[in-house]
Amino acid sequence: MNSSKLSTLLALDLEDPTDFPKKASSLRDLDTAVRCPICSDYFNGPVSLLCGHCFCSMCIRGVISDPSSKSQCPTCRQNMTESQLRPNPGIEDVVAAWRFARPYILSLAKQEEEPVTAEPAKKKRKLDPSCVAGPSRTSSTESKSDLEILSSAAPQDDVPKPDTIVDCPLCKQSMKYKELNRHMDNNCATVSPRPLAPTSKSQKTLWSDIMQPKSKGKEKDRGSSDEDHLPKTAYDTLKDRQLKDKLVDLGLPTTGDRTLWIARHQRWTIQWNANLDKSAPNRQSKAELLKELKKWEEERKVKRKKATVDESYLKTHNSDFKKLVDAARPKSKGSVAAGTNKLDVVPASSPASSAVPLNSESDIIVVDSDGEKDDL
Amino acid sequence: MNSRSANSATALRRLMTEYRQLTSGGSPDGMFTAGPISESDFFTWEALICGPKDTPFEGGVFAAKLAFPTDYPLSPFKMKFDPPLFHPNIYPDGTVCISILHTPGDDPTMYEQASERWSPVQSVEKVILSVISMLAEPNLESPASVDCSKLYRDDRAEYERRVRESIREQLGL
Repeated sequence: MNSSKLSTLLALDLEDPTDFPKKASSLRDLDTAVRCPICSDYFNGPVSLLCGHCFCSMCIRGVISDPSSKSQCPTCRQNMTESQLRPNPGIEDVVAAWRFARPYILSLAKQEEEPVTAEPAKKKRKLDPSCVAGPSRTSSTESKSDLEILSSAAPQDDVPKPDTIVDCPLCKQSMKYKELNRHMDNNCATVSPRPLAPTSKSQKTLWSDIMQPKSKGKEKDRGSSDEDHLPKTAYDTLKDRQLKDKLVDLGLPTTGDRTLWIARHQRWTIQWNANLDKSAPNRQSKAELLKELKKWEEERKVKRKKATVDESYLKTHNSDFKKLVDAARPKSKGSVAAGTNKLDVVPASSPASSAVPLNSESDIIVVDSDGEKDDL
Repeated sequence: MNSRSANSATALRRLMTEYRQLTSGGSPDGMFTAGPISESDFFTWEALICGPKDTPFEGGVFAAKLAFPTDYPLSPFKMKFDPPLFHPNIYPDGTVCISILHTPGDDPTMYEQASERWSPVQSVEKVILSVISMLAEPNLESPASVDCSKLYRDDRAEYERRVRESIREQLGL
């Protein structure tokens, strides 16, 4: 399962801050700053905690629902509760704007890396109005400090390549060198659209990311009147019947057993509330959320299957486990220290019940900690 | 396994980003490298760590396996030196005992502050840097290897000698 998912992920060509060249470390920092520290992806429905730290709504809600997290801010460990989450539409706008600008800025930053085109790109990046890179000028007229290495690589009378971005000497608009003449012939009238207007594939998908939910979400959200966050549910107090009714009320499937119902309801609550933390145009429709829920359940199923595969591992190593258990047992009878006693139970029962490989690792630790006790 | 928030797609994505950042960004001072052992399984990594300077571990190169849970980064990964290292905070089987890899919930040693535990904003890089500083300065409050801790406390010279010896053995000198 992993390999197929991996290939789809690889095909996605993940963006990350290190796309930017090392020299543009400030851009790396900027790209990092608009990413959630939990999932390391761009903020998706960003929310702030009381301490001010910002996360994706889904991510932080996942942390809160995780029993081992103790409900502390992952960054500063201040206590937090779900009710403190506040949507942060400002950051949401910043992320949208940055994602839109990113391919353009990335192309500029990369151009700067290439020696020949380094010079005009550099100017663009710093947006320094005082320097004008006319096409007729050559690199020799530029400040030497910047270009000591570069100019040795590029001939002095090098004419910019047709695709090099240059500033018009008259109106300072930037465009490809090959388009400059036509532009100036037309008295700097913008005939062609801005040459670097994003056209790449990733850009298109970006557009659809930004635009599609906008049109769809708005209409559909109007349809579903309930715009309230779902409250936390104490599942232990609910009877099966009540739980089922809850799922039916929400329009969720009622397949599976009680544990699955609870898991499904929890997941839906997180998804639903996280969706509401996005600003209205970015929200997903209920149909989309349901699709996501289905995907999540399928993933979960696969994970279960994987766990059963691990049982075969347990079978093949059964004799090893038995040996370890035998080695551990007599000692536990002798020294009934609270800690060892509790831990010794683990390897004894593990071959049959828990089927997670990580557990088997902790078993080994247990046996060793036993050895320690002896050393003492 | 925690069914509530486990989402291996999130984990995979995050691991890939971390991997890319480690490969293209490089580690500080080139003290370690880390990456998945095979492309088919992104949840098992191997790390190579250089022994920090001015410690008995200087000159050694140590391999460790990192095992990531499917709900990473909500839960921490596990780290195990293979072959095991002779160090007060490393179990004789090689598993690293360090507070940054423990969730705030479980506390095997009963002394750790919640403030130094795992949190989803931690990363492979931060953990390995902590392990490197742990190599340099063992924490005797939570001895994972009692033998080694006693030696470290009572006979520092012998401890350093044994560490150096084990490194030489490992390097085949």
